Amino acid sequence: MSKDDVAFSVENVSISYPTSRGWVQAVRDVTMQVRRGQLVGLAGESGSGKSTLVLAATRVLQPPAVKVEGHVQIVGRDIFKLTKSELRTVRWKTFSFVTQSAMNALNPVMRIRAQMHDAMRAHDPDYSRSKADRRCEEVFRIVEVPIAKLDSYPHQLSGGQRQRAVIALALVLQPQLIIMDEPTTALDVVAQREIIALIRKLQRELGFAVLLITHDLSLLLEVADDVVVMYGGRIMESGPSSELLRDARHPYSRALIQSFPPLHGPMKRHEGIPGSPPDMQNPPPGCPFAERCASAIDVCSEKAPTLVSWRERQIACHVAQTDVADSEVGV
Amino acid sequence: MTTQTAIQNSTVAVRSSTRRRWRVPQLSPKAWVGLCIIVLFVLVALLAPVIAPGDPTAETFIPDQPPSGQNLLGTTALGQDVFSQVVWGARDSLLVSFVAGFLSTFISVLVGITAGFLGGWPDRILSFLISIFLVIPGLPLLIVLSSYVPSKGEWVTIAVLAVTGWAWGARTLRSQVLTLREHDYVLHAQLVGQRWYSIVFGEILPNMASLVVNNLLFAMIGALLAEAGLDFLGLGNVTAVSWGTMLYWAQNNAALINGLWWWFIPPGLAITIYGGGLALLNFSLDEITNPRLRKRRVRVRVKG
Amino acid sequence: MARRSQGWQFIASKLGLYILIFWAAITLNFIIPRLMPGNPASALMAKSQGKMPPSALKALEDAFGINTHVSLWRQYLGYLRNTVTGHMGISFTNFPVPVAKVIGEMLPWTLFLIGLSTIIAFFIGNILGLYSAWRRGGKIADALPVAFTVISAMPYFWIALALLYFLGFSLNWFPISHAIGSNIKAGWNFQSIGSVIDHATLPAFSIVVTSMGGWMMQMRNNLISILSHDYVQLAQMKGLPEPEVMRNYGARNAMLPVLTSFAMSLGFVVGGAVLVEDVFNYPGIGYALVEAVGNSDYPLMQGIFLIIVSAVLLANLIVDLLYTFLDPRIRRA
Repeated sequence: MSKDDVAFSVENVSISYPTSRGWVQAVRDVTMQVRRGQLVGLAGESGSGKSTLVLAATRVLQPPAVKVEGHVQIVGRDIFKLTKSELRTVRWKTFSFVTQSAMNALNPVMRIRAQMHDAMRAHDPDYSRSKADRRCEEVFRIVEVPIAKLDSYPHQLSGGQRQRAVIALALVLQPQLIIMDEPTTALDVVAQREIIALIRKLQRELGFAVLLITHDLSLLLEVADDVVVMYGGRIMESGPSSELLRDARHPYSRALIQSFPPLHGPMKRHEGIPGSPPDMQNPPPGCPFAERCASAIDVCSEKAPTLVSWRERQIACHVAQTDVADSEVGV
Repeated sequence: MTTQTAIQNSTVAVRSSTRRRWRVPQLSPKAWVGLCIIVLFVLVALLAPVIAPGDPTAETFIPDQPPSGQNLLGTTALGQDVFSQVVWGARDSLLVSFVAGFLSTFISVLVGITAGFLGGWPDRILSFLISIFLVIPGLPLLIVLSSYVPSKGEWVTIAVLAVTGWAWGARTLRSQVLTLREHDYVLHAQLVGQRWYSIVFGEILPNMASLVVNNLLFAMIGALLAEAGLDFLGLGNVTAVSWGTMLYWAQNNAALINGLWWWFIPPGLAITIYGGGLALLNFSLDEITNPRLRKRRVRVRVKG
Repeated sequence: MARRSQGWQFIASKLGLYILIFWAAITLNFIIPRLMPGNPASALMAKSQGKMPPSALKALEDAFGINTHVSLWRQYLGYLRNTVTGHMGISFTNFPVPVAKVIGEMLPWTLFLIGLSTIIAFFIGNILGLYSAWRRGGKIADALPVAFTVISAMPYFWIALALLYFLGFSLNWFPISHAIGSNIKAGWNFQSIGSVIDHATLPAFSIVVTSMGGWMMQMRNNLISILSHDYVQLAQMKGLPEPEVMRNYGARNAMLPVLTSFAMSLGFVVGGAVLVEDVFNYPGIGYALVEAVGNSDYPLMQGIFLIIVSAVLLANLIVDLLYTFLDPRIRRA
C-alpha cells in the first residue's frame, strides 16, 4: 500500500495530560490508520481515550494541556511538524470535524451561511461571495436541508437539521478526511440512523475518508470498513468489521457488542458491561479490562497483553491469544 | 439503578474530598493574604483598648501635627490622635460591614430560595420585588432613606444597608435554586416525599454554600463602602468614630486645604486594605467555585 | 414576519414590567416620608416658620400631607397626577424655582461627567477583560484581575480626595472644584471647553479607575466561559485566524450580558456619582441630592429620585430593544 493511499495515520502515539497529582497517561502506544475513501470506526466507552487521541492527533489539544509522543500523518502531512500557520491552512481544507453535539457546535449569534462563509474565506484566496453562496447551497442540498435554512440562526433548526448543517459545514471545502466525534449522541434513535445512513452514502458518493468515533460498536460494525476498539487508552482489538461482526475475539469487543442492539435482528435483552473503566491516575499493572472481564485468568491482572496480529486483525488479550494459538495448532 | 450508583459514587467522592480539604485547606496564596488581612483587622477592632488606650475623641494633643513618635499618624485639627481613631474606627466599620453583610445575605437567601423553590405566584411577586430593588440605584436610595430617618446611629445605617443591598444576591441565588431544582438528587428527594425543609436545608443549601459565601463577602464589601460614603456625607452618626466619619471631619475641617494629608489618607487606606482583603478572599473562592476560572487551564475533557 | 412579532411581544411585556416598576418606585417615594416617625416635613416647617413664604409652606403641606383633611387616597391620586404630568413641585432652597428647573440645570453636567467616565471605563475595562481572558496564563493577563479586584474595593471618593490633594492642591495641576472656571462663561469656544475638560479630569479619573475593574471582571468571566463552548473550538478547527475567532465567536457572545449592565449603568449616570460630585463641588445631580438632603429640601429630593428611576428604566428599555437585534435567540424566547 503506497503512502499516498493513507488519509490518516497514527504511529506509536501516547498522550498524557497534567493533573494536580502529576502526569496521567490517557492514550498508550496506539497505531492505526484510515485509508482514502475508507470509513473507519473508533469504538470504546467514555474514558477509553478515543476522543483524546483524535483531538491531540489533530492538535486541537496542544501542549501544555497535553504531552504527545509519536507520529501523526494526515493526507501526507506530518501534523506535528507543521507551523501554526501551516496547521491553520491544512485544517478544514484537508480534514474537517463534526463534533459531538451539534447543539453547541454552531455560534448562536451568527447565521449559518456566515459560519460557512468564514471557513471558505479563511482558506480561499480567491474567495467570492457569490461563489461561496453557490457552494453553501450545494452542500445544503447534499445533506438534504432546505436551502432557506442557510439564513437561519442555529436555534431555528431542529436537532437533526442542525446536525446535518454541521456535516454540510464539514463538507464545504471538500476535505479528504472528516473526523466525526459521536455525531449522533444528541439525537433520537430515528434521527441517529438517518444521519449515519447519510454519512455512509455521502462517503461512498464523494469518496472522502471518515473516522467515526462512537461507543456504539454494533452500529460501527454495520457501517464501517474497519473498526478499532479502544479501552483504557489502548487498542484492544482491530480489524475489518465483517471479521469482528462475525467473530469478535476480545472479551471487551464482545461485551460492547452485547451492550447495544444491532440495527437489524431480533429484540433481546441487552446489558451494559458491569463495572467502570479503570482509574487512569493509577492504571492497573495488567490488562486494563481484567477487573471487569468475565474470562480473565491470573496473568491478566499481572502483565499487560501486547497487540498481536492474527489474520487480518490485531488483538491484545492473553485469553484470546491462547485460544487463537490453540485453534491454529488444531488447523 | 445506574444513576443511583452514580450519585452514591459522586457523594462519596465529594465527601472524601471535603474531608481532605479539612486537613490541609487548599487555599491559594491570594486567599491566605485576604484571610490574614481580615483576621488582623478583627484583632485590631477587638483589642482597640489595648492597642490605643484612652478615648479616641479626646482633644488632648497639639492640633495639626504630622506623624511623629508620640502620634504615629499625627493629630487632627482638634488635637485628636489619628492613629487611635483609625484603630477604634475599625470597630464601627467592621461591625457595620459584618452585620449589614450578614443581614442582607440572609434576606437574599430567604427571598432567593423561596422564589426559586416555590415557583408560581410567590416567585412572580418576589421576582418583581427583586426587579424594583435592582432598578433603583443604591446610593441615592440610601441617601434618601437615611435622610428621612429621624435618629442616626450604626443600627439605622445597618438596617438601611440591609434593605437596599439584598437584591443582587437574591437574583443570583434564585437562578441557582432553579438550576439545582432540576438536579436528580433534588427530584429524587421530592419523589421520595421528603419535607420541603429537609430538601432546602439538606439538598439545596449545602450545594450552594460557596455561592452564599461569595454573596456574603460581596455584601460585606458593599456595606463597608456604602457606610463609609454615608458617614462621609454626614448622614451617619457623626459623633461616632468610624473611618467614614473621620473622612467627614477631615473634609469639614478643610484638612485638604490645610495640608493635613495624615488625617484623610489613613482611614481611606484602612478601608482599602480591609476591603481589599475581603475582595481577595472572594476572588479566590470564586476561582474554586467556578472551575472554568481556575488559573491552570487544563482544557482536557477526557471523554470518549 | 413571525419573528418580528415575537420581538414586539418581548418588548411589550418588558414595557409592562417597567411601568409596574415605575409605579412601585413612585409609590415608595410617596409612602416613605409618610411612614417615618415624626413627619420630617413638619419638623422642617416648624424650623422655617416665618423664614419661608406661606405659599411655599402650603406647597410643602400638600406634598407631605400635613394639616390637610384630604384623605390619603386623594393625596396619592394627586401625587400620581403631578408625577405623570411632570409637576415635581417647588424647590425649597431655591424658592421659588421649580424642582424641574433645578434638575434641568444640574443634569447636563452630570450627563457629561459621569456619562463620559462611564463610557471610558466601559471601553477600557472591556478591552482589558478581553485581553486577560484571551491571554490567560500570561503574567500581565493574570495579574490584572487581582489588581482590579483590590482597586474595586477602594472607596472611590477617597481616591478622589487623594487625587484632589496631591494633583490638584499640592501640585496645582488641575482645578480642585466646580465644573468650569468662575470667570468663564459656558459656551462652545476653546477657552470654555478647555476649562470644562480641565475641571472634569480629576473627578472623571477617579470614577474611571475605580469602576473599570468591574467591567473587566465581567468581560473576563464571560469570555472565559464562552471560550469553553464547542463552537469556539470548532471555529479554531475551521482554521479561522485567531482574531476572527476572538471577535466573532468569543467577544460577540460574551458581549451580550455586558451590554445589559452597560445600559443599566448608563441609566445610573443620571443619579450622578454622588460622592465624587460632592468632593469636587461638581454642580451635578449627585451634588444637588446631597445639598437637598442637607437642607431638607424634600421636593427636590423626591424629584431627583424620580428622575433617576425614570432614567434607569428608560435605559433598560433601550437595552431590551437592542437585544432583540443582537441576540437572535430572544426573538423566539
